Amino acid sequence: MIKGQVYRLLRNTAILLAILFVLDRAIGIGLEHLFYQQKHGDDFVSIYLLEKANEDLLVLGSSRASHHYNCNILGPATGMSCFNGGRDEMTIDYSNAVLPIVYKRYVPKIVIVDLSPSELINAKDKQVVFQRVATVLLPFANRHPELKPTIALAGEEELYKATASHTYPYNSSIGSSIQNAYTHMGHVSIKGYEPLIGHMDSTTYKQALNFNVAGELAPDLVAMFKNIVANAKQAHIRLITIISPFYFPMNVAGNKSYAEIKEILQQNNLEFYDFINQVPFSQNPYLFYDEVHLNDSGAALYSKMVGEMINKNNGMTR
Amino acid sequence: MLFNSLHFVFFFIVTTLLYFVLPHKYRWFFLLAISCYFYMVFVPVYIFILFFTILVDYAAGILIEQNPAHKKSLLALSIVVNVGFLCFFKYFNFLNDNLTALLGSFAVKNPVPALKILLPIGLSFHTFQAMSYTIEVYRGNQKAEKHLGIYALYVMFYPQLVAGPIERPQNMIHQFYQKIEFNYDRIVSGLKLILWGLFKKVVIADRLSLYVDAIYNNPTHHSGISSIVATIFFTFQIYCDFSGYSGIAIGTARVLGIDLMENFRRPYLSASIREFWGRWHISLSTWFRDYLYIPIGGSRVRISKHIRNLFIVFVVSGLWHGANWTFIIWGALHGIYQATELLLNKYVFKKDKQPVKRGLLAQLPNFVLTFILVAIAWIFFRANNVADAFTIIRNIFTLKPGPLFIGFAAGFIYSILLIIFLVVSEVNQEYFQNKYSLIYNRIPAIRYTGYVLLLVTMLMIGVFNGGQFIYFQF
Repeated sequence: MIKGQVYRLLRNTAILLAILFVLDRAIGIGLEHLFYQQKHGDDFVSIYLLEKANEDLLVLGSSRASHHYNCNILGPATGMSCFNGGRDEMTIDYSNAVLPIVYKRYVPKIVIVDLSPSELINAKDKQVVFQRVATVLLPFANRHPELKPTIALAGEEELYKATASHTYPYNSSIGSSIQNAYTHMGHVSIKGYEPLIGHMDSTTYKQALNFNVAGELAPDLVAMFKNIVANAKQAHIRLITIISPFYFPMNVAGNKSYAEIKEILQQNNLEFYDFINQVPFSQNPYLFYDEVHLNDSGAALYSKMVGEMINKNNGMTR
Repeated sequence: MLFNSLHFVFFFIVTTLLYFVLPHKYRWFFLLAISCYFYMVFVPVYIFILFFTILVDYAAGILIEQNPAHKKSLLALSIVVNVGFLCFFKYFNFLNDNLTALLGSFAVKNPVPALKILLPIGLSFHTFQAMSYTIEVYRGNQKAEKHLGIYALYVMFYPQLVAGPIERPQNMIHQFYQKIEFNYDRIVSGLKLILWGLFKKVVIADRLSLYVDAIYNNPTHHSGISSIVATIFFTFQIYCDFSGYSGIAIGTARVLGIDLMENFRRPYLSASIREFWGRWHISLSTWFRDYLYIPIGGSRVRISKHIRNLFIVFVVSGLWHGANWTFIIWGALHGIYQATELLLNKYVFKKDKQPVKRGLLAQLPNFVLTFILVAIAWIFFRANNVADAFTIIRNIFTLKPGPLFIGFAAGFIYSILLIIFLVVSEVNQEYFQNKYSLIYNRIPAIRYTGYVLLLVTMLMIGVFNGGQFIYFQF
């Protein structure tokens, strides 16, 4: 009697798992195809960066990179082809993971890494940030196994799930894949640069966001930045680290991350451009979309200034 | 260990297999051991607090039964110990912060520092469950449990250890003595509850939370319409989160052969606030009814006292949820709703009993009104602080101009479709006895299609990094 029930449960579970296995594979293959059809949008930026980019000048960083570096201005200003590989919420772990894959395919002349002054601080939400990056990198893990250690920072579970399921790596991507592959809806993207139109209402933003200025350094994030530096030096790439403008003035004295970034770059004789409290950006609402993002006008002016500095310094440490 | 993690999937499969392989006489010990492990995955050291309260309540139960003359003081002692731990861990910093603010207004510094401690997970739940045991022994409704291991298992049974349902000893303790045979139908019925609970959590609740968090963590920057949408989303999010958890807990227990009480009965199909509380977090609302509301007089008193009793129960219920003024206001709002409903029924509509159940369409205006009232109260429950809650309310009631925040467009569309799916499913359960359900369909092919659809949807659009269940924090 009980044996019969156990057999029935095992048989039915096996049938269910078999159906699920076949469907998961089929749907996964379909989603993978759809994913790589994208012609614009966030995933497209990663696909292009990892699979196709061959520009002389690459920009990496978070949303502040993606909204601040207009390649149509920065490219002509430096006389180089340019692609902005910045992507919303993608922090230093993302840059550290993708750059070696890019270098394996080709060697850009200049790589700009846009950082926040507190990029290397051991923030409370560090694990959440790792999770976000893992979600973005997961669809590429089979093609680029080098990404797996970065994905594993969010927990080994992510890799197990991606191994067990073909659909899981493309989780939540179906809507945006269709939109970015077959429609023109969504963000406008100019060589990876995403302009923000309109300016901030300075009355809405009363105080600066808390940037963990008093936090301690995260050794793993410091190691990642050192790795980015070492990889660039090894490939003879001109690595420029930039902190782009903020609306509110920021006091970086005592910010261990800022000091560490500066020290690592000085030790390696690499360029560092600090725009934190720079005129004409600081407290100019007409150049900002919100307190941390320049609008299109701000980005145009900023990209021109960055281009001029790149030309002026031409390899000199600043 | 979260129910929505791979860790739990492995834990559940391995322990369930071992459980059925073991002879009956060893199963209680096995369940207790894995429950200890389950608890210790969170903060291991806190298990000693649990052991201590278990020993106190176990001894109190036996002593209450053996010493009728002193049973009142023994019960009081047990309650003081339980509530003492709850107050220390949950309310000390809240009271101290308020004292600091109060003294600060007189320019006096509070010498008592804040405690840097984590709240033991599920403390409010297992404290209430333990208290129900000693109270029932005191009332003579439950014999004192002589087997320490079985009593410990009653408090620590892992499926409901951290977020309920808050069980009663009469429903549960005897089940640990029964020999449980492997039963296909019971196991499948438990697995279906787990699947549906997981779907509610991973696909619906955590999807909605992405939008809700974006608005509620930054309310000053959002418009009235975005605040309305976020509040509606949260109303469904918290339901799917908590009822999803309860479904997984009840389903897991059912697979192991233990029946736990129903915790949710389609609460948003309530035609009144009173009915809502008969359908929402049933194990807690009946706990408050049995151990607080009725002992202080319940409804068999003057109407002014009746209103006072309702108000006390709901404020305490708010405080039970969290040491924050937002929860107290949430509870007080429900107290006000209930009191208003009581007065309207008595003096305006002239009816004392719950309305006779009518059809879906006839009830619709009442459903909508109840939903709106409940949603307004949820604003306080979700807001990070009282000021944020009032900002959201201001945004909504002044229809603060501005665009509708969409965020991740596909995610927004999924959210709306999932809410429609949930409502249809709830109406099907309530009014059509699940006749059109996929996973409860009598045709096997449709049932299997239902299982596969839920699983594939989870893989395709589930949010797997949504983190812990909202009620774990209580």
